[in-house]
Amino acid sequence: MSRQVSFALVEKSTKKAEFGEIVGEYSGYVYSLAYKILGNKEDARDASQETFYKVHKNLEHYDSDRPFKNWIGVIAVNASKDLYRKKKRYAGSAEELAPDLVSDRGEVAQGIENQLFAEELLKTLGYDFRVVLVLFYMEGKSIAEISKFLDISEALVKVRLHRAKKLVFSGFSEN
Amino acid sequence: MECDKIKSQLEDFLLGELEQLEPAYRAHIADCPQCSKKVSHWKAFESGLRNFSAPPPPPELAEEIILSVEARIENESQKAQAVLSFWPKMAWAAAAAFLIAMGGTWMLREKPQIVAAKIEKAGREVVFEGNFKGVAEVALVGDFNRWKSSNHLLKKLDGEKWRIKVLFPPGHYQYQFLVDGKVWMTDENNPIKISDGFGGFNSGIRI
Repeated sequence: MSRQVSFALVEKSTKKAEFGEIVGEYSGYVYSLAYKILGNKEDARDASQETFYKVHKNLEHYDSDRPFKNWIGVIAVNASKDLYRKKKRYAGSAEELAPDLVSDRGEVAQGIENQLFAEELLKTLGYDFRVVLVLFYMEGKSIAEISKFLDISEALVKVRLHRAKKLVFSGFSEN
Repeated sequence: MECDKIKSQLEDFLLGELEQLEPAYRAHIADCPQCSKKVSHWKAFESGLRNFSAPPPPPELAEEIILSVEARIENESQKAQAVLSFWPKMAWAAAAAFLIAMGGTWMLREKPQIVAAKIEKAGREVVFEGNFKGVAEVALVGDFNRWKSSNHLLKKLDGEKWRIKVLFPPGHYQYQFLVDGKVWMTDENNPIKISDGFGGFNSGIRI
């Protein structure tokens, strides 16, 4: 009887340690992905918690044929989507980004300016367009990979990407 | 080349590969301030996206996540046990009291019956179907929906038939039916019964 009990305890603490390791290794990635999709730190934090809650719940269902990072990434994207739908907004502003990026001399390099520019434009897009741009450009994913991530056809990924780009481009003034 | 004429084609080319632009288009862009401006905006946007770096996570993030997840799971486990232990006992106690009060006439009314859960060959789709007479609501409740009685409500078909189709990821699940928000029923035709640790049973299913 005591042997069974101690085995259960060992298994539990092993699972706990394992989960702790997973969080340690992937929380940065999840936070960064959620931030890119949701646009602000508070939401990125919330989405990260939700993501790892789901990871914990579904760990035994993880299919090891699939890279673990991709598996977690999909959960993170879905958690971000749920949070976005709940809040129906992109909170945050470019000021959240700028303090981390402005150099000591107070100059904003062209690269940073481009990033702020991109972030502002992304905010004008709806969720579906934003997420394909994030996955394609920021995460460097292929059409096929995005299709798996979002569980939509590759054709639909291409359509959304194209429409998102067109929307942004048509918004540029000619002056 | 006129600006208006090539505008839409220009967009499509730009949104593909700038390098693949025909010389005629490139020449136009070089000469046309408006198109040129748009192109440089687009380049800036693309570059901003490709080189985007999110701010670093707060240093306490990992620890915060671990603590919140553990607390949540602990909380759920306590709630589930409270629900499982409380309602079935209450329901059967009430039913027994009712029986006695009615002098046994309740026995003449037809008890809700459940047809066994059918498992579709699709592998992960499960259809739960049963005959429930004279009830207003039937919910499928289990660990997969955190024992919430509103997530999987069965649909009433004609007569007494109630039905729901659920898609499960692979795994083991426990469930019961909650009838009219009051009466818990295990699936009588499902031989798999899992002890709930409080003297009762849940029906079990494996995908």
